[in-house]
Amino acid sequence: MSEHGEACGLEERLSWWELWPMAGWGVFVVYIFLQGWMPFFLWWLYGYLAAASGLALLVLFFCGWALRQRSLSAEGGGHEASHGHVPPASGGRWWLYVQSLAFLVPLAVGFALPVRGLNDLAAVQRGAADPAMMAELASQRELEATEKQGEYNWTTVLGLAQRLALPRPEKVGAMGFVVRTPTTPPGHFLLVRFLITCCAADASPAAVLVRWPKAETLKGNQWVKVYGQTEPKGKVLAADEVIEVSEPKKPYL
Amino acid sequence: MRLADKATIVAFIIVVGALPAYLVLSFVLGWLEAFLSIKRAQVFGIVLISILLEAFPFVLLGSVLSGAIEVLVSPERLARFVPRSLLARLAMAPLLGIVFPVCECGVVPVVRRLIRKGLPLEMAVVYLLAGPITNPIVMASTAMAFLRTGSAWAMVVGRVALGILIAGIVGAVLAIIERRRAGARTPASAPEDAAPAARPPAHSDHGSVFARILNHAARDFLLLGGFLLLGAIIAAASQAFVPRTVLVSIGQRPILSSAGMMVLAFGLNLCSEADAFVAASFVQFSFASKLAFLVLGPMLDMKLIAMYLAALPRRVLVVVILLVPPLVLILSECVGLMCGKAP
Repeated sequence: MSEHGEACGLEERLSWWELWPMAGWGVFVVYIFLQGWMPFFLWWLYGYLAAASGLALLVLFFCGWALRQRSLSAEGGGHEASHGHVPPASGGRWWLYVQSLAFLVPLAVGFALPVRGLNDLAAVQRGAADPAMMAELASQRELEATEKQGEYNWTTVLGLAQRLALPRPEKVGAMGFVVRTPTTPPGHFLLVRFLITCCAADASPAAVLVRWPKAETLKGNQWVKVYGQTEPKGKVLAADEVIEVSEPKKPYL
Repeated sequence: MRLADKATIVAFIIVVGALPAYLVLSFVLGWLEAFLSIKRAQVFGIVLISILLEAFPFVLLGSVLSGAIEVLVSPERLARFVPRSLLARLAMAPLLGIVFPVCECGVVPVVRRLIRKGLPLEMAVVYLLAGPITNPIVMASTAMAFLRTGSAWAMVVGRVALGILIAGIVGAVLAIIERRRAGARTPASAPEDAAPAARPPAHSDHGSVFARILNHAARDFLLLGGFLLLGAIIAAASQAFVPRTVLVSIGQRPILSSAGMMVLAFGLNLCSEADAFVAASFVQFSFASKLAFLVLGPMLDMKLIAMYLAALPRRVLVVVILLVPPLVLILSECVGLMCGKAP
């Protein structure tokens, strides 16, 4: 770079290597939002924040591109011809290429990933099969509201876990996905749903042990609606009916 | 070469490079699925994308703020607000987290820029470490998470007090090291500055204020986003391959319990506004160990270390890594003993 190039701040103009990651990541985030897939990754408020930031990135990209075009047009290509591509001050052409191409990794993972929530492996790894942890999780939160569906009180899996701690049996229903571990007794399965605070990285499972004679016919990760009666002594839900359903658009509570 | 030709070549390279990269990655992921587990690959992918989606808005905000600082704040203007005495500097820095509440991701580009503007290293590092803990939103979420355990106030006060104390100790040590090292104080430069130290100022007619802020913000986002990506990949891999229950099995044993929770905080890479709810769910662990989890997380985890590589001089990063974990461990155990708190 010539002295004049340094002095006139030409290093300030963004190169395409610096512009395209903003566009790529912005397009990806907005695409996920428009497809309705944000709830698989984030709590709803953070989802809107991410979408707004994705739009902001696209705006920044267009501003950067427009400024670049204007700068080149105003100089009539003269500076570009005499100075060539100017590496940024952040250190070296190759480092820029590495930084820029690294953004391909999350884009490739994001587009290749089947869109679904955390699975039974994550549930077990995060303690779904630990009754003490589940009881503590249930006790931390306010009692979940219920909605009358016939003779059953419809609630969440967390609400089920809370009601198992109450002394009286109750007819309840909830939706979650099936998890089975080596320690799950025959004729039983764990009904699980993740609780999310910010993103899937911090999601913790709420789990309830369900007794159902046909439990072995259910596949792991299958979403189901369960109706039954709580048995506070055994800390188990005796299911009257289990209905297979598809994964909801908002898999986390 | 004409501009259109150059743009075409660049676009061609990107397109041609993207497709093989996608195919290679799909192949690698497929191979990983075959040898490991499709479920594990799914967990890895979901956690990776979720960490990036959650963190990048704050990195973007921090980058825009840092771009504005670069253009609008001169070293002379900044120097006017810096106290002369070391004690005053160390006391003032954590308060910046209350005045400018940003999370641990957003604060990194801001601190990086402030260091380059001449903010004393010890102040910058104290703000970096304590700012995400003195953030009012973090204090509120901590209180909410522990409300039903009866130790909400103890946890909030303990977290803030330990955060400020540890950051202050690290800042004091850094100040002593820097003074011995340099004699006269010089502004520390960010590690990626391989270029000659003094950049000549841009002529004002070569870019509006907005354009210059935009350019600096974009470069900061690219730089820090890359390091965030590195940390997120490591964090997602640790969540996919290391069950939380492995560390939970350490349980109630003193010291080991706190160390286990610290390793968990390091590996989970949680946002400081959410980590309290996760910590509260670990019933087997003591008050001291949960406190250690909540203090270490906003200061040091995998993604933060990756981002610090771009923001801090290497010697400063080494001091932070060497000092923070033992201080967190020892002081959280002391607080636990003093409070006599049961889990």
